[in-house]
Amino acid sequence: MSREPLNGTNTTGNTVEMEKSKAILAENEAPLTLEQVREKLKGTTGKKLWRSIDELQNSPDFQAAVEREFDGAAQEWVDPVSRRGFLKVMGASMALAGLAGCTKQPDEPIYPYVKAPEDLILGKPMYFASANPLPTGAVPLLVKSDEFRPIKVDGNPDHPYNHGSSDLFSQGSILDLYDPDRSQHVTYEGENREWADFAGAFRDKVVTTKDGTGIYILSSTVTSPTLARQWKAVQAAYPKAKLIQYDPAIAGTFLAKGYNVQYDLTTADVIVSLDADFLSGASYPGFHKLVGDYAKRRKNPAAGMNRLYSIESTPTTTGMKAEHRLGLRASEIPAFAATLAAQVGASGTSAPQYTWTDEQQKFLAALAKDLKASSGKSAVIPGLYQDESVAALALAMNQSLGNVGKTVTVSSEPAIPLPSDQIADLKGLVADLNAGKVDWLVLLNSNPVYSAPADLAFNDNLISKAKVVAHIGSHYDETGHLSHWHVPTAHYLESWSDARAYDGTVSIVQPMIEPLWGGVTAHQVLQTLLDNPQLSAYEAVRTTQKDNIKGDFETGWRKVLHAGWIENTTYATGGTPKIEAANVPAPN
Amino acid sequence: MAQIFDRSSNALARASLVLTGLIVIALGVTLDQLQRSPWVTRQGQRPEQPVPFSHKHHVTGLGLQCQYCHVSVEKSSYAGIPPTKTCMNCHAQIWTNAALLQPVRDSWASGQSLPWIKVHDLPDYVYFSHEIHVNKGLGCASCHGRVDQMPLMYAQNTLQMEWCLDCHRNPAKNLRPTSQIYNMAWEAPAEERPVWCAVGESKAGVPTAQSANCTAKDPAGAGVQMAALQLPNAGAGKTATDAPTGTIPASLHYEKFTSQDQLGHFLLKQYHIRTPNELSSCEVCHR
Repeated sequence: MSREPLNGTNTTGNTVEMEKSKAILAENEAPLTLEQVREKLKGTTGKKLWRSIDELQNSPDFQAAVEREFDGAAQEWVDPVSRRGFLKVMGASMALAGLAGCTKQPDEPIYPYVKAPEDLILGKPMYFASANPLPTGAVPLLVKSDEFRPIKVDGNPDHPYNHGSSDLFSQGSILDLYDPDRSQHVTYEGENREWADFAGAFRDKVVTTKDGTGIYILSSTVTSPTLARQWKAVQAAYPKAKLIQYDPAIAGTFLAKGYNVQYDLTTADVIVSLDADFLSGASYPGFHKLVGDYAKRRKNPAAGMNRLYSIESTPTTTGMKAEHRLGLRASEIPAFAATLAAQVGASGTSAPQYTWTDEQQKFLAALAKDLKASSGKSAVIPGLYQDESVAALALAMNQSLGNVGKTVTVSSEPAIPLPSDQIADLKGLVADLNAGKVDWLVLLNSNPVYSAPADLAFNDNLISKAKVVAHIGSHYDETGHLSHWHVPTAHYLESWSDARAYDGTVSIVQPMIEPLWGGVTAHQVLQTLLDNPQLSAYEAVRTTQKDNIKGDFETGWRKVLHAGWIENTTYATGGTPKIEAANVPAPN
Repeated sequence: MAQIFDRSSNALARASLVLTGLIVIALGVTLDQLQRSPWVTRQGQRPEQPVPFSHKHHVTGLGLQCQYCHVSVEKSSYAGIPPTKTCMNCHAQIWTNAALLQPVRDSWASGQSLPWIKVHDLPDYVYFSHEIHVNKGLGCASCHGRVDQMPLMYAQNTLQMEWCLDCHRNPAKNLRPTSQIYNMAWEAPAEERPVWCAVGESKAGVPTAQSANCTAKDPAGAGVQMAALQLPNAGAGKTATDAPTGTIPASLHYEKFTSQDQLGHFLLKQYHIRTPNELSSCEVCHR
């Protein structure tokens, strides 16, 4: 009651009335007993519905709640502006929106160069060759750069591997460069530091161990020959330091173990995919070349089209494009491959005991017949995420069909510079962490807290068992939060490096822009442990490629930077792949 | 009950109706004029620049060619504002202590750009390319005015859409031989000032604008030294001024023009300039 009472009498009267209503209120507040409910309903006939005892009781509390329309917890329009007023203002602003166009433009400054860069024509973009170092093979790129800011990434049209094609990972990588969530500072326990502080601490620690005991580096798959060379130099100086590579999409595949078989689909009449989705994206090694060669044969039916058989466990682009598709459980595919190999007559293979349906048997027989009829002109491609035995069986089939040397090339060099059993290595790291053997854990472009298999329990509890954890990554991510040191890395468009394409051609990764946030490259991290710790990634890459560039080095180097790749650096062929014909697992 | 309003109020009411109409019209006219006024368009305004650079002194006085500073005018949408280095090419030697040039020296020493104020400022939603205009026979002065007579830079024209369309609807009235692009004093042909033009061979890979040869002297006149108004064909991808100087081939058939309209329509055809309908289509400038 905000209004003052008019006189004393009324005040008294009001007080009495208020007390009376309070008494009624108190009476009503008590929940109704069954008798009271009966009392209330006595004499009523017909349908009478109520949703709660409260409604039947019709207490003032309930009344108030009904009048409020919205529950107390709900958000309400509490602004003094009414809905009507709001609409009025909005209507007016809509009507007057055009007026904003009738304004003077603000003064616009021009900031010309102090010294203009050579060859730059403002308004015309420039193109530079580089490469996206994917672990499934580098993608040679041509980067469109406007005023030395990369704005578009596309395939390098002159490159013999991809002829200008690229993929969604490469196209999208430009967004990673400008990602506002990238980490921007070197930190130690949350406080800003300099890169030199980290480099000094890391080097000092490693030097005091003398042989590298307790130094563990967990990295994403090493794709750069220079980084591999630097690691080998670190290993020579500190033999007990350990490098663990782990990439969730690569770990456990034949690719990570270095198995290197390439396919040339231009001459393949019959293509068999054993759960290999080589038409979908760059997650399958050689995607750019395979998809181009596959499609080329289908553009001119008169010249003879190829025939694609797809045996797969999930619906994929490859399966949809295939003439003949057989859907199998993922666990059946090794057995299917073994049965097919036996029917094709591949040496050292035998059909496992497994009952195939009539339809599957028909498919097997027809496929085996077709393969045998086009020996030397077929290709059997194993799935990246299939059991290793599928890769071994596919190779055995290609060998017995006489495809090797024609449609299939076996390389004696591994497809990645440092092949390893990534899962076994990661398990070893977890065991060493639990055993307290890890002094320094350096996580290089790796986020194991997020990406390691859950049963390894790579969490804060495990990570805290290392004395010092340094996270070197592009984002201050799950692992970064749990680490002592965090160092931002440079994006590949900001750094010097090198990488090899599917066919082995060495591409130079060249920076398009200074690191936006002062990020460092993996080359710099490993270089801190070597004799010349200040050596730049640029010099490291040049040192690695000295032997590959024939003739005068400086001239050759400039040519390589212009073209984007080094000629005559394809993988040496003719070797036997380093893969054991593992046991064929029984389907489950 | 007495009347509230006197009979004379009728006249007032009528007058107020007319007056309201007049006020609305006056307001409209005022706003319309305001939008076209130099206050909004900045036509003729000389903003305060870090250095009071005189185009008159450098172009008329010293004879600098436009492209000495505006290097990319033939090659890019953006004509280019010279870097401090271009100023210092000369001013490291002359006027080295002039107080007016202090900002230039500061910029050179510190590496910070000279913050010029844009005089010809198109809205950001307009796509404009110097390259196409300059290579298809539109002179600097047609849009920028007599820059060689401007001690301080200002916009001669409004740069408003109606001004752009004025020419896009009839480009012939501003076309000139491509050799005269940087000639600030170029005047349209007239009875007493004829221009002769001939069509040369058009070659693949050569800018179309270079197939026309023009001269201000009668090529038929015996003994008259011909002034080459049109440079011979340059190589592929080169612009008019990239071509080496040479003489006019004598075998060409020359046509005489005595008015801008005639010359404009001749050049329109030779330069393969699109029709007014196409040129005034929205997506030409608003992509």
